[in-house]
Amino acid sequence: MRRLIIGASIIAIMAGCSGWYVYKDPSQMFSHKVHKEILEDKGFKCLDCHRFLKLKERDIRIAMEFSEIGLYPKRYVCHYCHIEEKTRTVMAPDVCSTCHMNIHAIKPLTHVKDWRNFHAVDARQDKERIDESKDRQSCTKCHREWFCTDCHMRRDTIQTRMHPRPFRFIHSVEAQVDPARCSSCHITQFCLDCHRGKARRYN
Amino acid sequence: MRGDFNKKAFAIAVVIVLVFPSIIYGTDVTGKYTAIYQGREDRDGEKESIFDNYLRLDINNLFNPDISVHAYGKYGHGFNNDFSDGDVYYLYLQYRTFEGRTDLRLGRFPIETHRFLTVDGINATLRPEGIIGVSAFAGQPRYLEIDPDRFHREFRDTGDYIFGGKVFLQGMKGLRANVSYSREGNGENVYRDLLGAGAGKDFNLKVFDTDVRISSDVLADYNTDKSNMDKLTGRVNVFFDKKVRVILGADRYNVKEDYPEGRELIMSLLSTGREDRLSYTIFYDITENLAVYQASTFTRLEMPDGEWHRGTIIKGGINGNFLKEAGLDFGVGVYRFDSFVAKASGVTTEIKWHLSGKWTFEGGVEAVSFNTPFRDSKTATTVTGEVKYSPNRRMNVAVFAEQSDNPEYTSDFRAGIRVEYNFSFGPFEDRSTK
Repeated sequence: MRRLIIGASIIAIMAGCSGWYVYKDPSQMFSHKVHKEILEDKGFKCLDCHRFLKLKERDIRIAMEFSEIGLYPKRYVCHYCHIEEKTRTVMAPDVCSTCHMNIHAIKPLTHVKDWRNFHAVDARQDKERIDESKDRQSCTKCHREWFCTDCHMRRDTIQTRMHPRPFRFIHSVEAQVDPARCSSCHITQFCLDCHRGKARRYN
Repeated sequence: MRGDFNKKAFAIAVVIVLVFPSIIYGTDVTGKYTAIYQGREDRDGEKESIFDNYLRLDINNLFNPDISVHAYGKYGHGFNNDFSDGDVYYLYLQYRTFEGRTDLRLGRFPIETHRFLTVDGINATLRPEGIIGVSAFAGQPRYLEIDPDRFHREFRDTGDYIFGGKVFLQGMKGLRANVSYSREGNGENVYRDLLGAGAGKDFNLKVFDTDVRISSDVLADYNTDKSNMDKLTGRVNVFFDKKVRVILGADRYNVKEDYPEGRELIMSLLSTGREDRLSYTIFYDITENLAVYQASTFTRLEMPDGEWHRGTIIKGGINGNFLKEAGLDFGVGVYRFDSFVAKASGVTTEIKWHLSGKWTFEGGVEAVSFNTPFRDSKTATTVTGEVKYSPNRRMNVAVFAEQSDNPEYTSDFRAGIRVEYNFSFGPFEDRSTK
């Protein structure tokens, strides 16, 4: 009965709300009204963001692409206030989804399904400066330290981080296949507590 | 005792920042506060309700543009057992100059050495002009304590020490290298003493008019105390014109450690410490919206009787990204674990649907079957759902529910509400102009 109510509620909400969604790319997410005061305070002029290039290109497809580049600023302009550590404006939200509705579009090529199983090598190679020329390839370009800590240290989230929700049911199989993976986050005491009968009420 | 100190230190940091702004004039603060209230009911009908609060703070420009404080902690309360608890996941003072050329950390901080660790101590990294950088750290390692009631979780005060460092190559396009060292132990024993080396190189090739990018890395850890090669790792990422992405991995472990009881590596408990692993993931973009993946891991473990046991993990599925067209993001996958004692198979679905600019639905169904002669229960199904409302770009309010029909150690049903707020305050001035 409980499942039925939950399922019915979800379907009702989804059906009722479908059609409201409108995708916006970062340039469409920008609001002049919100930015006007702070940009003026900082001394930005229209031409700092909009370069209005004069195009001689006759191919309409290429011309449209260049026109867009000329009209809208590249990400460096936005990131100057929102992201870059030394120039960031405090009041500017630094959450990627503020402007990027589609996070997949800005993920590095390496971040495919199961990337979590491979990420340790990149993290340890200290790509922060070494690989900066490749842009977006170093962890700290996008992630703050809490992102690592949240996965590695927290065990009480309601969100599924590393393991699927029914993982405890089948965890012994993976532990017998690849115990080295378990050691990345857990110590033996973590196993022993449960298997010696300590109750875990929370999560 | 140590837990009390951590809580007090975190509370003091919060008070300094929030209550005495005059002390920190010119300082800017960004952070995120998350509050979660959830009620749970287990299969025996026992109920509990819990209120958790998480706070992340980045306090920048503290008297000087290069000085900052970073903190992340938790405070929770269980209503049924009237029990409160707190953790500090990290709390450190940082001095970081332009581009991190000098980076000093003091306090509790996460660190990536031969494994991911939380350390109470100091870390210093220098990246001077030239191609060589150095870093060094020292302090006490921290491990999360596990209490009979899992609600109570604190970092254990082990009294142990850890120190180490790294010399690394910097500023070389597509080329990486480092030599590292770390030692962990107490006053009498050395638990692990590892000398590591790593190198990596990126290539760009043209194969049949297709751009191919290859990024390869190798790492090795040698236990100098045991005169033993602890770990060898190789990784190759291959990107074929961005449509086909392949990650290959090979690892060989031969761990010999002397951690005290309860802190041994899990692989030392389930094998002699020797494991070989080969793994790959292939990801292929069928269209702009659909991608398929297949991932496999093959291992072999050495048992105390000298026998080698093999295991396999195979996963596959399809991911859909229709965010532009319909605000929809979904995935369907299957997996199979095959060990020498049991087999498990599962199917998983996940969906994230942006119903509007403000409403998001997220949910999934996962069903697994377990095949072993030792257990009665053979299947488990979990259904989760969450509806999130984002009234503005800083705030989210979500209600969630989860139902499991065979959860074993976890609850049968839980539901709750979560509130997230991203905040920032401080002067408007551009820091670069100071």
